[in-house]
Amino acid sequence: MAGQSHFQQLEKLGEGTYATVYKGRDAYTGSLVALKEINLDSEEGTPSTAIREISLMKELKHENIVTLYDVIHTENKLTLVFEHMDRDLKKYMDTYGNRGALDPKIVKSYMFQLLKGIMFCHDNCVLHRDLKPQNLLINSKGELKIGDFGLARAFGIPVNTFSNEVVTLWYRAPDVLMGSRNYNTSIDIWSAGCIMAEMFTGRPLFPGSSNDDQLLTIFKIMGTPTERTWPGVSQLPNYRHNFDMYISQDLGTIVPQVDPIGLKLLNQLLQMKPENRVSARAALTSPWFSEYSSQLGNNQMNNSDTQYQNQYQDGRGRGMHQIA
Amino acid sequence: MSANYWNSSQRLHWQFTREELSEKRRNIEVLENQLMAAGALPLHLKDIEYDYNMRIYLHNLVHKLGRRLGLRAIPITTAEVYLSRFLLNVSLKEINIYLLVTTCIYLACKVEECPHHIRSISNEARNLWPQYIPHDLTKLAEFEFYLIEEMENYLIIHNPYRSLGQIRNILASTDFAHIDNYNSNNGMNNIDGGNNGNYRDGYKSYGDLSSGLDPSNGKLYDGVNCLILHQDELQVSWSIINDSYITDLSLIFPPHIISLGAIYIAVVLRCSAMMNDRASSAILRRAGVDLPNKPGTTNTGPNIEGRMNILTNFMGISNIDLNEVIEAVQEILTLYEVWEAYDENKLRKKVQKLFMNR
Repeated sequence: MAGQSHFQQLEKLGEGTYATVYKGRDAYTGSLVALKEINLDSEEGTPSTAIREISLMKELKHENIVTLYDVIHTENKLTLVFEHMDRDLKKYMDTYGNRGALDPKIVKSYMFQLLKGIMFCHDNCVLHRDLKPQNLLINSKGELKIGDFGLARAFGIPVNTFSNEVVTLWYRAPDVLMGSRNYNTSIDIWSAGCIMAEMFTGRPLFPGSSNDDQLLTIFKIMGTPTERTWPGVSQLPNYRHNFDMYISQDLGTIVPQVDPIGLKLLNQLLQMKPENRVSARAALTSPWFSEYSSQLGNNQMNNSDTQYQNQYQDGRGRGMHQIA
Repeated sequence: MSANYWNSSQRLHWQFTREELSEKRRNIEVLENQLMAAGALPLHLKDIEYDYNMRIYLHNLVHKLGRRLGLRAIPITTAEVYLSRFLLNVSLKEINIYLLVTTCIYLACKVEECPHHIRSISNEARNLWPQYIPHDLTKLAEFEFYLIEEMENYLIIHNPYRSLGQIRNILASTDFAHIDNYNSNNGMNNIDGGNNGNYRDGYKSYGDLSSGLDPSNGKLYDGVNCLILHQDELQVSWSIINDSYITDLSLIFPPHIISLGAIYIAVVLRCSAMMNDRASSAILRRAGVDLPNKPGTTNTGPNIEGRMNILTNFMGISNIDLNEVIEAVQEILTLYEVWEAYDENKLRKKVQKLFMNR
């Protein structure tokens, strides 16, 4: 595996958070791949982000998650060989959208696939933490796959190592913005809601410019949370009593392209209070997806438990540590 | 991490039969002999074996460095699995075992999200083993990739601690004293692997398991017909799980088999130690438990016989493969027998030979 690569490097596809991605061709089969190149510092070992991505991608095999084929180690760089996808969702919207806005049928198909991918991650106790259009990959068959797991983490581990500097601002959940450190699967659900609105309108729903501005941008549409609408909110580290007060607006007027059933789902995804956000599993049973319901095999959905709240972080694991 | 054991790379790629393990070790032996014949390995290494004694020595190395770094149990056991995986493919005579141990810990810390800087791990290791850990950090960085490669990039490890908690909760919340009272909806299918059919489809998560089973939100019986494991028993089970990594169990069985084996030993041991059985007390002491020598003093609920009865009933109806549990129990008891005669100094001298004439 190490040493000479049989992948021919073609044009650059983009710069990621910790790597550069190139298009590549497998010299043996002629098929296309994506090559994610990570520069190595000889005295640093393999970066944690790469370790995280490699280890998770080796476990998460799903049709809506991009496949990792191989890892190639050369003297000063590490190359992750991924399945090739034609473009990311951001580029797709720019190229094929009507000023970025996608046809509602396509939005529905992509949302269904996105939520299936998220459900698989969450079922496997993995939070993506950085869902955004640039990390969702699209191919000409109309398939959508989640990529870039560099910030993803498994959530079976004590919460106190959670960093609150993860999700790209625009798709970051309000609880995370206010400094909550024991977030869970609901942070990916918020991002999914932002992405759904953006696919309909062609514009990011909450384009904030800084942490504070991001919060205000959210409050202007969703309303400023109070202890009444969100018990416990005032305990969050970055909560301020002098936040500008906004009343919530109807998302239907902000995203006029969405039909009433889709709007209901969008509202369930974009709940300010994390506990109120729908799970990916429950979202997939929304009547909005009725035309796809046959695609949800019984084996995928027979799990009646739709709540993935703080069970993983309730200290049970740490309790056992104390026994040792 | 990734909680679905049944779809995990551990089950699909890193679980072997005993025959497969022997085969792999035979391959290593053949290679060693070839290297010795070719003069690439010194002949005096002939009598060094990767046996229980050597594995206890390696286990102690991992724990020493783990303690220095203040690591929790999970990264330490992950490092131990890396160690045994690596040594399934590579002869310990060809490598620096101290560097290997250090690298396993370094990588396990990253994967279990408690990363330590390469420099601090290297420094701590060098404090412990000054003559064996190189100053050059690139050696550690290089070894890390060697290790990742030998494990074919499969880094996520499922350990038995979680199922230990699950079994504890089920025992504490369900009436197993009277099998007639058993009803199939009471959570039995919720242990990992308790019902394979349910899990192989891959859409069942540990999150579901913990939900209804936590005694604090579920129904808790009065302690007469259910089995509430004592703190001692949990501690012994926990220690037995830690020690099980010296053996091949983590390469052979799913985690829940090991945790049930550990619970079984713990409950039996505690019973017999209370009956003043010296061998049992010795093992318990190794696990850090000192029992009051008065039988039955701390018992709440059923007596010793009743407790064994409940545990046996639970095992009988759990769908867990009991032959596997018995095998695991035997393996652990054999390990403790060997451990009684283990001589650290003898091993240290043996290991020194590994570094002679390199």
